[in-house]
Amino acid sequence: MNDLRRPFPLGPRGRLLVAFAFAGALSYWFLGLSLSGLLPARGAGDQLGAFFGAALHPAVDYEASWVPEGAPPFLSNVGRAMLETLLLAAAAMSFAILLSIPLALWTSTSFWQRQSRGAAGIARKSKLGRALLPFVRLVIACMRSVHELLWAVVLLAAFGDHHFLAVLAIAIPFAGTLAKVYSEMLDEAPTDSSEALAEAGLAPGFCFALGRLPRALPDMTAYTFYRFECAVRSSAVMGFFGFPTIGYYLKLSYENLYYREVWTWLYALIVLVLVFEAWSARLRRRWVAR
Amino acid sequence: MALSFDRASVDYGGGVGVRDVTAEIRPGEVVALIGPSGAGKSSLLRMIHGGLAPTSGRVVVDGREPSQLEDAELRRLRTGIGVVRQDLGLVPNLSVARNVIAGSLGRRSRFAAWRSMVLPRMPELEAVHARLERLGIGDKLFQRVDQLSGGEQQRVAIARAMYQGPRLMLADEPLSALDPTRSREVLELFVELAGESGATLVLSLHDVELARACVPRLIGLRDGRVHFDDASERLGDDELRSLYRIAGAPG
Repeated sequence: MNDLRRPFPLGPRGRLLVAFAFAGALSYWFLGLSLSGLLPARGAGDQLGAFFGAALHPAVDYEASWVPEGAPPFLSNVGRAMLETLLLAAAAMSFAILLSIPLALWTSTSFWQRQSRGAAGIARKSKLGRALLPFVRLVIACMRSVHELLWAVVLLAAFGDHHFLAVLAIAIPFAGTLAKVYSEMLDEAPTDSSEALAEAGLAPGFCFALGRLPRALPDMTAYTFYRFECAVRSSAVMGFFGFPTIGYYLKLSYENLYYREVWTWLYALIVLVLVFEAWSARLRRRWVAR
Repeated sequence: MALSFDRASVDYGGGVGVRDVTAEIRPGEVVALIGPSGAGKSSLLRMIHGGLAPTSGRVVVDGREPSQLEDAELRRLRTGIGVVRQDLGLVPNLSVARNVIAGSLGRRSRFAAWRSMVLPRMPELEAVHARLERLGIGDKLFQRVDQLSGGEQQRVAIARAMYQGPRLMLADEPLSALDPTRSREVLELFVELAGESGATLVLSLHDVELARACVPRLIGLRDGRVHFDDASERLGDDELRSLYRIAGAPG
């Protein structure tokens, strides 16, 4: 007999929502948060005004009263930093993609299916797959759970200051995230085409490569572009460790209280991300959504 | 390819699957499975290519029982069976040529299969093109499947099954998405292609009138059992109508 009564007082979804609301309220109270913290302290109003006022007049030249002879023009610094930021992100992403592909394959259940019989969900995994899968999942979890800034700290402490370390610091956690999401996209891709190929007598490896992978590829491409955008932001922040990306100059300007320069750097980052977004949207339209 | 069902049953636990089906299909025969939804048509078809194992009884295809075969043997058997699924099972973002070639890779060595997919050779493309021409979509050879209409996609799926050079063709509700005129055209095409290649053809159909007009032998299924199994010209209207009669309703 089906129980048609309404669950009382709340269904599982309702209980989860209430639990989240309660957790939110609890953390608010526990951290002593109060909206009055957002109001400027007495006397700090001037500084606040100066900072946001500068937003309307971003610097186009050095704000410092004295600039050493032979220093490049301010705007050429901006252009160079934007380029460096993009290059660091591109290097990190190409490394991360290469690293993530084997990891993604090894962690996706569908890759290890070695039986032609039965529905995709209940097909048996190969022995090697069953042995390797939990281990690779653990490796990926470790790569992901440390933020790129912490990877930078760790790598800098271990190996010293080198450009390749910034690349690695971004590439490691990004490869982990890419691998996890790729493998989920592969496992959740529509199964009709790989089943059809299995029914035509193709070996499981071919069914995966020709039936399943192409179905997941558009989503994987779109997600990769999104991660590239994230890499651009991370690469900017890597400047805080001395790599000559936007973050490096942003930090210098901020420490010197050159607020108009700070805004210039922020705008440069926004422009960079927007231009990248527009470009990647165009590519995606051409390749993916037909 | 010869087929036989010997008291084959499928028990889904609870619902009706297939009950005690016994039937013989000779090589080159064209047979339609007809009956209301849930009568067991798809289950019968899936038992033939080994996608579903009978819980009791036997299904014998070309002298072998698909459900008893080792994986590699099952794959070998399947390379000789062309299946046109109801959902077609095409890869939408690959070209028509690659989709058609992919279906035939089960017979090739690993290396030859990859080469065919990455760089199909000229004679191969010509053979695929000839198949597509036969189906009236020769000009779509290098188009992506998702740019084609539903009817064209169905022809690609038929071309893929035919390109396997099958001795048995299976089609599950191949007309369900088509309008009546188109339906007749496609069904006649199936029967014609099977006749040309001498392949056995088993399809499941909803439309009884159409089946009777185009297919020489009809197996009527109801609640998983064989309700009738006869040449279509011998089947009377009453017998056909009784297939769809609701149990307990006045006849």
